[in-house]
Amino acid sequence: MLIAAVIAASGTALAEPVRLEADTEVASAGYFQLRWFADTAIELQESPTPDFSSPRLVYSGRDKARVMSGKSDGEWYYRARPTRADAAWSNTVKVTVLHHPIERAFGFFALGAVVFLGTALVITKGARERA
Amino acid sequence: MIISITAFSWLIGIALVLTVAAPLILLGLLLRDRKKGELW
Amino acid sequence: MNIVQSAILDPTVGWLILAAFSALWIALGWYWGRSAQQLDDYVLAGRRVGLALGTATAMATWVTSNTTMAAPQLALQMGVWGMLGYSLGSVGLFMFAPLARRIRRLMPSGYTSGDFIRLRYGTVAWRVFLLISLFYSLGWLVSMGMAGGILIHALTGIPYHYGMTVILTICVGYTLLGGLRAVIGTDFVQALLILSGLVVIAVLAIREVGLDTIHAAALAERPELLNLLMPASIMFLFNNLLFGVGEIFHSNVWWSRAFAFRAGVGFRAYMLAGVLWAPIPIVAGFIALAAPALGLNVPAADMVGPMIAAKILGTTGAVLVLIMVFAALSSSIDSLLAATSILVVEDIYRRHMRPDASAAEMRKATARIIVGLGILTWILCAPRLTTLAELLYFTGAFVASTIWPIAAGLFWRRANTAGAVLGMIVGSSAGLYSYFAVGFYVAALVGAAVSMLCVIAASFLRPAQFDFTNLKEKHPSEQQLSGRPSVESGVSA
Repeated sequence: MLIAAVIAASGTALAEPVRLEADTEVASAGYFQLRWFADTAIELQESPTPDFSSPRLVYSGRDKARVMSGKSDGEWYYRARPTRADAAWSNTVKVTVLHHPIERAFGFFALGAVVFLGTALVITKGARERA
Repeated sequence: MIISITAFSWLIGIALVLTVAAPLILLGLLLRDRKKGELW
Repeated sequence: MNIVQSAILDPTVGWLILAAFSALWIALGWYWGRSAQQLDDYVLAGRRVGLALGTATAMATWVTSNTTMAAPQLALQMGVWGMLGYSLGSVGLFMFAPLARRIRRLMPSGYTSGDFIRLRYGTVAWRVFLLISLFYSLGWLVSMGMAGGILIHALTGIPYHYGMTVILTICVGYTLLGGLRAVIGTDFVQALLILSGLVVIAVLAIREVGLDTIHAAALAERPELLNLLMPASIMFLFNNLLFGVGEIFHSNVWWSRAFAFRAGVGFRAYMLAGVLWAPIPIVAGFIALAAPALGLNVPAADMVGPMIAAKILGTTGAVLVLIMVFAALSSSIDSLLAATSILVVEDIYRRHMRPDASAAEMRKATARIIVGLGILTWILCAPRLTTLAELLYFTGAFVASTIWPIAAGLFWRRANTAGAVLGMIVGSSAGLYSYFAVGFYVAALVGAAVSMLCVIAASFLRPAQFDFTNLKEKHPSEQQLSGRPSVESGVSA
């Protein structure tokens, strides 16, 4: 009974795992924010596969969120846990990074160039006529 | 196409030089306007 | 979202800095306000502002907290082209240069952009335009007010409501006292503060970390940020350019300067302001790329700027950022208060309510509206709805849809009313749709493109033959002397 009471008193060891969230499922510009809900310092792992066979430590500390950016196309899996040996891992969050197709980007670029040049033209032509 | 370290350095460098020059340009113009009595 | 670590500066230090600069702005506002009794002195600084002050005010007003905060954020999210794309906001200043010259020439007694739209296109277009303009002005004011509260809190721990109230009250105070002269005068000082602060932070960052290390670490941790072919950033380029052009072309903040500058100054002032503004987003932005090199975790993208400054420079960095941000915010809020108040006084009070208002009455009304705007902004900032801060990005589609009605209206005789009205309405709608369908980084572009099509199509189908001399209106004091109300009041389309 005494042992049970001691274990109960040290409650946090059996606390619920950390909850991890991402602000988007698909990141079309290579950036997204990961948020977690924990009272303590955590470690955050990233893996290209859901089984975390070759995980990478992305962050360790007391902050409650992290902005990931500049990531290349791919599927990225994340999990977090308090920095204690026996702590359980959080839910796994998956973020798919899928950049806009470069053709679409150039399409908008071209459209923008046309509008810009058209505007510049109406101004310079008009300005010259008036002068 | 990753920006090279050289291009990166040039970009930041030029921007920095312009930003350093800016207050000097503004003050110079201010003195000139003042002399001409054309401040505002 | 309180995921940022505790404030870097002591609240007492924060209060001291705020108090010192507030006292300075108020003192200057009072000093310059002594000669601002007449309407044109109060709202247009006497229509004689010279090149130095003109350039500084155009540059400083365009440096908002967005420039110093959003530039690092964009660099962190969109990389090198994000930073450079932000720099393209300077194109708005460049392109406005010929407009400024033309505006002053065509409307020597003009007050607002609203005056132009009314005379050029008639009542319907004017009202659509006013809606867009007031929506944008309020959005900008609210986003600045909120940014002030948030940033002061993040840097000093001073509670959001205190910081927000202080910055709004001070800006209302000295704008009220000194009118546009106070705004322009303080802008000069604020410009120097912004530039100096940025240089110090940037130079120290480079000395501390080194550009090579920044580049290498970013490449390892966030590779796409250095990719010049990152699709989203490329899409962002012209969007940002056109957003900036739309903001500057339509907003009375820039038109009031065009009216306020001495003859011959407008063109050069705006060109030079563009040159001096362009490097600022780069200098402010690149330090965000140092996050990997510093091993810094960034919990929220919009805090990356101050976080890095503090990390590299400690208390000094935080003090510099606070001074810079306070200067940037003040220089924009004061301009907005001045320009929006005269827009309301001229286009709503005088043209809709009191067509016979004298210059003296307009001056009095302007003062009251400055206070009213301050209070309204405070009320909207008080609940701290973050979605309100994002309101500004929303306005991209709307303001970009005004580019062609304005540019074509000033320079193209054939541009007609239908084109202008359709351009604004259809352009805004299309832009808004694309904001949600594709992303924030295409809304302004789509708005501008669709608007351009509307204006061109309508003006070719039924070309107008506008006589630009119709833009010359009597000054309110002239009409007082002649004893007759201005012919243009209450005109219908």
